[in-house]
Amino acid sequence: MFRVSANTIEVKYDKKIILKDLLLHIPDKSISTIIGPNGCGKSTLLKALTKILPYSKGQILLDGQALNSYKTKELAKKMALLPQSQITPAQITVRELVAYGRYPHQGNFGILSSQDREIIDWAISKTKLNDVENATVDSLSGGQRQRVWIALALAQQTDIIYLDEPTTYLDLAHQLELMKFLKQLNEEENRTIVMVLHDLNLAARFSDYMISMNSGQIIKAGTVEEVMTTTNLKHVFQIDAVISKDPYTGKPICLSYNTSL
Amino acid sequence: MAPKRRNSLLLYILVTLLLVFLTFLFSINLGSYHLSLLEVANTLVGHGSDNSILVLFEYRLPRILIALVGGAGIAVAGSLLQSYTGNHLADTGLLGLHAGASFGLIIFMSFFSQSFLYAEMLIPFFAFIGGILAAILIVYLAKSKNRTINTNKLILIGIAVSALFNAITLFLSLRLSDETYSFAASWLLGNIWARDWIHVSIILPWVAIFSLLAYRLAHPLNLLQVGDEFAQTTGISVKYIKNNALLLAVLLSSGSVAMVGNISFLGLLAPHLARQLVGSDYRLTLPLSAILGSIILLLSDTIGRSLFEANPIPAGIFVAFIGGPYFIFLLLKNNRSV
Amino acid sequence: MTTWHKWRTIILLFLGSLASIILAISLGAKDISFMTMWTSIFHFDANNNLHQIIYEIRLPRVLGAAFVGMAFAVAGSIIQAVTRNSLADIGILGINGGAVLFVTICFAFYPAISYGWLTFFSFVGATLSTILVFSIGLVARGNLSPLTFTIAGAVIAAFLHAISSGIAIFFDLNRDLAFWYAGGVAGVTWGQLPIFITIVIIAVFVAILLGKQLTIIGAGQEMASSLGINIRFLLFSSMGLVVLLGGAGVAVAGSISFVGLIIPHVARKFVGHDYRWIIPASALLGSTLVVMADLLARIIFAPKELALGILIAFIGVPFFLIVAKKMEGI
Repeated sequence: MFRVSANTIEVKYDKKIILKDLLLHIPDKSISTIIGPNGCGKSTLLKALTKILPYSKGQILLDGQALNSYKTKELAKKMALLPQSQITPAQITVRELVAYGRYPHQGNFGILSSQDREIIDWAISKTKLNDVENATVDSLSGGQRQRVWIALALAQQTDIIYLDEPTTYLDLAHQLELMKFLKQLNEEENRTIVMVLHDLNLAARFSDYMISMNSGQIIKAGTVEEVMTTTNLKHVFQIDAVISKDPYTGKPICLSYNTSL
Repeated sequence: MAPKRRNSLLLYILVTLLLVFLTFLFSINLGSYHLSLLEVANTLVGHGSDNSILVLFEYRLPRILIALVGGAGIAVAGSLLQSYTGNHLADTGLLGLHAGASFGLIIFMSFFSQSFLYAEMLIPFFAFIGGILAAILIVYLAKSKNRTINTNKLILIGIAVSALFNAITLFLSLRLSDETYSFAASWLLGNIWARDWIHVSIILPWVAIFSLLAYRLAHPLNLLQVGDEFAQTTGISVKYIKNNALLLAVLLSSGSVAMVGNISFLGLLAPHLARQLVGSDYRLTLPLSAILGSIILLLSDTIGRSLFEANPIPAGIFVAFIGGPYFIFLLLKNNRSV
Repeated sequence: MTTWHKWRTIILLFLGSLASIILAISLGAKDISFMTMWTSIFHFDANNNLHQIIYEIRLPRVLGAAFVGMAFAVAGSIIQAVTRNSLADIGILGINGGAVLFVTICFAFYPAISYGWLTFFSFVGATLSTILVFSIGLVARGNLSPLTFTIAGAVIAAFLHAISSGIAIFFDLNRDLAFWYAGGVAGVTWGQLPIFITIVIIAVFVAILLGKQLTIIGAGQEMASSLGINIRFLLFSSMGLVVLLGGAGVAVAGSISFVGLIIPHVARKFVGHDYRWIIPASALLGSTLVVMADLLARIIFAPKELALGILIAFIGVPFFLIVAKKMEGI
């Protein structure tokens, strides 16, 4: 099942073509990760899929309907995005920020209904932020802060969640914690999760579907075993990778690598 | 919102409204013709002498109302501009919107002010045209190749465009007549020149209508604070909201400054004070900064005309006296946090 | 660019500056021939009407314009070198504003003040505002970006202007001070010129001596320091020069912005990035610009005169906008 698909789309940024003839289907209710070298168009793809950047050719479909025919608010009920970097409004509390996620479901002045409050409570407890819900976001640690933004996306109550390099700025333990949380979200609530990741091994460990990109095109998309191969990584990153099996998970991992000659 | 904060909010609104009232009393008492509180009270309920009626209703009351409404208009415009630019240092005066408005105002004053009865009704429209010209020029110049706006650059370009429009205004007025020139020069210093009921009847509905429209944007503006892209995916039509915010900022600021003169830094000060008091929710800070803007402008005007009776000092100078150093303080603080 | 090319450029700029001075002396309400000018200088005849116009009105004004332009342009070059900011200018950064504020205070409390004291207080004002602008650069931890630094300066300028205006209104000085705000060289007298010209020439000379160090500091303070430059001494002496040139210029011509912004850019186009050449080129270009601008201000709407400061703003602001638009980053 595919709810999101891109059919030979082209995306330009300041007249420069970033994505060209790109074909993509995102499997429903699974975790997909996009990998690729710097500047290959990963973030641009994510922005195109979330209608932040317009596409000039082709079509992106969401539930069989063209993406650019959706109203912004309607779209925000179907998909949420956690961008790479966020701005924290001064002195805002965790609860207030999470409440922003209810915007697409609200009227003009943002008055919260009791249902809204329940959903906010749920998002806060899901992300284990109960203890700090009235603290200001500024005062939190990096890992906690990342969870606040995820709670905001959860409060949007969308089936699809996009994340742009969510593990940046997090240490190893917090990275793992975040990924496990996303996995749980996917398994327990059937959310479709699509993210851009830099860490190949993290991607391989948690993904159901991997999309490898280079120069604005998809090189290979498929299961982890199909994408994490020496030949494919050579195509994508120009590296000679040593692929082995993760002793904990049985998934492929990249043990070491060298510049491809 | 936690109930605790809601209570303190009510308290703030009560306290600030009380402050408005006190400023009002303070202002209505002071001036070259001294009126005691009792006389004021008597006159207000209709038992005043001819003289006190004249002073109160014809001189002082309209001027006070204009200061209150103009201050609110500039403050709300400042808040909107700050969310448009995503920079808390943005000020409608500093960014050149006032200078643009002055250009429109001078055109009106020189060619249309005597054209028909109640021609003054047109003032805000002329000022708006000047203001929107300046806004378009600034946004165009500040946009970089990839269509993003660097906010510091925007401010700097605003300062320069403001210098340009000021030079044009002075130049034009100098060419027209000595009176126009001295009017323009004193306007630039932030002199509340509009003092009649006709002006009240123009500025009051103008500011009231556009402030209400601005309030409709309050919640979307909240979400814009988390960044354009994120806001977009939470359902905000970022472009639409931002363009509306800019348009309303120009409407409010140019309409207001057309009457109260070039008051710089007020659009910076009032929203900042409001944020310090109630946090970053625009649904609260918009009305609060309107109230604070009223208080600051009325106080400055009152001090200027009563403390220095022989040569009254324009309100704009007082506001700049506080606002300038405050701006520098914020600039350095921002620089640290980056 | 060889040294010979640079010398040739400087000589051409010098001739250009000289030509502008001669043009400005000869044009005006009464046009004066070159011969008359020549004889008036070398065989002055007190009974000759034209000779008197030249000697009493045109010459001090044009010489004033030339050296004011020189002072502001060189001050601008130095400040752009030290702050590594191509948007810096003593007018934009508020250094002129400080000088004007002190002149205003003098007028307010001691209207009969002599020109010498006025100049002195103009220096004091320029010094204090320079210290203010630079200490803001130091207080801010981390490096202030050129944009931020310029914004801070511009706001200080606006602030100082507001205070001066307030004082001027309160003491009813607007008529006396209008000239200081608008800027102009119409009122320059022979009494002011000898001291002023001496100060400018000495300061420009010292600036040329510092030229090499000013060039190297363009690579950053740490780099310059490791190349053996005494940073403190350099900053201190160049700030001293800026104050000297700015203060003296304001005392003669009021606040004129943008000369110090535009000229160094033009000078760089002519002679490259070496401040040993930029400074003399700026001096000559600055004098040409202000002399020509003053001439325009006199003759476009004759007999009315346009304020010189406003006229230069019309050239300067678009220039500023172009430079600012090109700048990227924070």
